[in-house]
Amino acid sequence: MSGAPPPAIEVHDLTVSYHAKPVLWDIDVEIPAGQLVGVVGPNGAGKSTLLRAILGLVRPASGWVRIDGEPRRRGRHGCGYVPQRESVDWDFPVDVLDVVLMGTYGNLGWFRRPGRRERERAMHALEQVGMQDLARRQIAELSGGQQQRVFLARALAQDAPVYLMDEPFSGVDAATEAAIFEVLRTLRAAGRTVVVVHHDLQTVEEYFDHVLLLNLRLVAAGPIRDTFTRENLLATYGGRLTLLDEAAEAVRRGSVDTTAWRPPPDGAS
Amino acid sequence: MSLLDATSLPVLIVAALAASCCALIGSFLVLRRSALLGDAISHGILPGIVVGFALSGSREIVPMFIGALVAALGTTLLTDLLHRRLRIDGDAAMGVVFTTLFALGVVLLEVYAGRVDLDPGCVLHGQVEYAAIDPASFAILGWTPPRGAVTLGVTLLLDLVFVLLLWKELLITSFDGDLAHSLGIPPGPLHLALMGMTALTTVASFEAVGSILVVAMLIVPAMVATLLTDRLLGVLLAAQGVALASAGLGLWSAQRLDTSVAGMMAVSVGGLLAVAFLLAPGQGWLPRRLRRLSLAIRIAEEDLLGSLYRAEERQAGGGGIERPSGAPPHHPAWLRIGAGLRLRWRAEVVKSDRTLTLTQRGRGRGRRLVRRHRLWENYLSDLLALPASHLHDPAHRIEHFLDEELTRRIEERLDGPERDPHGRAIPAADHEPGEEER
Ligand SMILES: Nc1ncnc2c1ncn2[C@@H]1O[C@H](COP(=O)(O)OP(=O)(O)OP(=O)(O)O)[C@@H](O)[C@H]1O
Ligand SMILES: [Mg+2]
Repeated sequence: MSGAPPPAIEVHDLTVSYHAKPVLWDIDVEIPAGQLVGVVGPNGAGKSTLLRAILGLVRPASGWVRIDGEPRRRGRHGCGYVPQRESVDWDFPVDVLDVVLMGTYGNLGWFRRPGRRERERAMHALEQVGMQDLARRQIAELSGGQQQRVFLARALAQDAPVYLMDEPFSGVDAATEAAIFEVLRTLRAAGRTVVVVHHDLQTVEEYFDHVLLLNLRLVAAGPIRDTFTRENLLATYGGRLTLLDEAAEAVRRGSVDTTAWRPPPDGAS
Repeated sequence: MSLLDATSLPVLIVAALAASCCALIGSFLVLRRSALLGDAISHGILPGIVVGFALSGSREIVPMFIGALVAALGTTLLTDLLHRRLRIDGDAAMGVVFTTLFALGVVLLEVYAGRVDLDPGCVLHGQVEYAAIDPASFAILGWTPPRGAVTLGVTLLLDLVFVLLLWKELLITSFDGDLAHSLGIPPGPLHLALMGMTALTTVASFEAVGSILVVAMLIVPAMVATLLTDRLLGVLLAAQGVALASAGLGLWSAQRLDTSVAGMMAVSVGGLLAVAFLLAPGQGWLPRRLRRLSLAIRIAEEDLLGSLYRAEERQAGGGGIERPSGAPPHHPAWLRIGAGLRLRWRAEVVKSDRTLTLTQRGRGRGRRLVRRHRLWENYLSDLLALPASHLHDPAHRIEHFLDEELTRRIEERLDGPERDPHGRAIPAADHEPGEEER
C-alpha cells in the first residue's frame, strides 16, 4: 500500500459556505491520478463550487485540498481550469489566439511577454481542438461550441498535470462533443488527471473511469462500475434533502442574527 | 489666434497631456467594466487632495498625491466593506461612498478656503488656461515648459511604464480573473495597483482640467475606441487619438466661444462619442442602416429577376404570357421602384411597351436564384420530410443568402436532382449558350 502513488487530488473534510450558508458539507474524497473523472449532480449541488474550492478560488470554511500529495501551488504546477462559458465577457477586444496564449502566462513569470515558443504552443493547442483557422477571429464572433473549444485550447496550452473542467460539453453539437472527448482521452493517455462536471447521465459510463456523485454532500465516489448505480443516482437526484437544506438555512439565519435567537437554557429545543 | 502661438501652445500641451494619461488608464477601467470606478475614484479623492494641500500649504504634487492615494484606497475599501458586510449592491455601495467623500471634500475645501490658496472653482473646472503664466522653474533647451506639463509628463511616463510592464497581467486579470488567480497572477493586488495609478493620474490632471473633465477623459475616449476597433492595442491607440483630438478641438472652440477650455474639451469628447455612435464603420447607426438598406434592395432586385425568369419559363412551356411589372408586391413600393430602376441602370432588365424583359445578364442572375430556391426546397423535403406546401416560404428566404459554393455542395449532397419537389426543372449551374456570365 505504501508504494501507491499519491492521489492526484485529495480533498479533506471540505466545507464551503457562501454568506455563512454551507453549500458543500464535509467533502472527503481522493481522486486517483491519470483518470477521467466525472462530477455529477443536480443544479445547485455545488459542483462548480467544488472545482472552485479545489482551485483555491473560494476559501473553504474548513478542510483542505492537496494536489499530487502537496498543498496547492499556483503557476507552473497548478491546475488547468476550464470555467463555465458564461464566466467571461465575450465582447472583450481580443482574438482567439490572445485568449489561448493566456494559458501560457502562468509559466512566464512577472513582466515577461509570451514569445515565439508560447505562440507555437498556443497554435498547437488550437490545432488539437480543430480551431487553427480561427486563430485571428475576434472572440465575439464565435459560436458557443467554438467558445468552448477556445477555453479547452487555453487549458491545453497551460500544460498542467491536473485539469478541472466545468461543463465543457454544455451547449455543443455532437461533432464538437466528440472532438472535446477525443482531447480528454489524449490528455488521459498522456497521464493527466481530468475532472469534468457533466450533466448528461446517458454518457457518463461511456466517457469516465471514475465518478463523484454530489449533492451538497458527497453521495458516492469511486470507479464507474461500482459507483454509478441506480441507488446512488436516486440518492443524488431524489428528494430527501430537505433536512440538509433546512439545516443550512438555519446556519445562515443563526450566524447573521445571533442576537435574536438564543438556545433555551436547558438545551432542549 | 492660433493654437500654436505663445499663449495657446502651453495650454494645448497641458490639455493634451492630461487627456492622454487619463485616456490610457481609463481604457483599462472601461475594459474591466468598471467605468463607474473611475468616477468614484476621481470624486472620492477630493478630501485627500484638500487635506494634503492644507497640511503642506503648497501646490506640490507629492503631498496631494499621498492624500489622494489614501482617499482612493479608502474609497475602494469602504465600497468593498459596504458590499460585503452590509450586502449593499456593488454599484449602490460605490455611489454612496464616493458622493459622501466628495461632499466631505467640498466642505473641507470651504473650510480651508480662507487659509490656503485653493479655489473651489478651479478644483471643479481646472485652470488649464493659466498654463502660459505658470512656467516651471527650469528650462529645456532654452524653452521653459508650463509647470503643469512637467507633472503631467512624468505621470504619463509612469502610466506608460505601468501599462507596458504589466501588459499581460492587466490583460488576463481584466478578461478572466479566475484564470489569472489559478495561474498565480493575483487579481486583487493588480486591481489595487490600477486604482493607485488612477488616483495618481487623476490628481495630476485635476489641476489642469478639474474633476469634471477628469471623469470624462477617463471614460469617454475608451468608449469611443471600443466602437472603432476590437483589438486591445487598437483600443488603446484609438483612445489616445480621441483624447488628443478633443484637447485640440476643446481649446480651439473655447477660444472661438471665449469659454472654459476644460468644459469645451468635455463637450468635444462627448461630440466625438456621438459621431462614433452614428458613423463608426462596424457598429455605428448609419453604417448598420445602410447595410440593411442595401440588403433590402438586393433582395427586392433578386425577387424581381426571379419572377421574370419564372414568367419566361411559363411562356416557353406554353403557359400564360403576362409579365410582372415590378418586384413582387410584398416589398414596399419605393423599394420595388428602386430595385427596378437599378436593374435597368445595370442593364439586367430592359423596359419596352410597359413590360420588363430580362437581358442575358439579368437572366443569368434570375436563373441562379431560381436554382438556389429549388435546390433548397429539395434539400428541405429530403432532410425534414416537410410536405411540398411548406417548402416555398423557407426557400424564398434562404435563396438570397446561399453562395455558389454552398449551393454546389447542396447539389452534390442531393446527387444532382433534375426537378424540385413540385416537379419543376432545376436550372443548370453553368451558363446556357448565349448567356454571358456575371
Ligand atoms: N457567489 C455565490 N454567492 C452566493 N451563493 C452562491 C454563489 N455561487 C453559488 N452559490 C450557491 O451555491 C450553491 C451551489 O452552487 P454551484 O454553482 O456550485 O452549483 P452547481 O452544482 O455548479 O450547479 P449548476 O449545475 O447549476 O451549475 C447554489 O445553491 C448556489 O445558489
Ligand atoms: Mg455549475
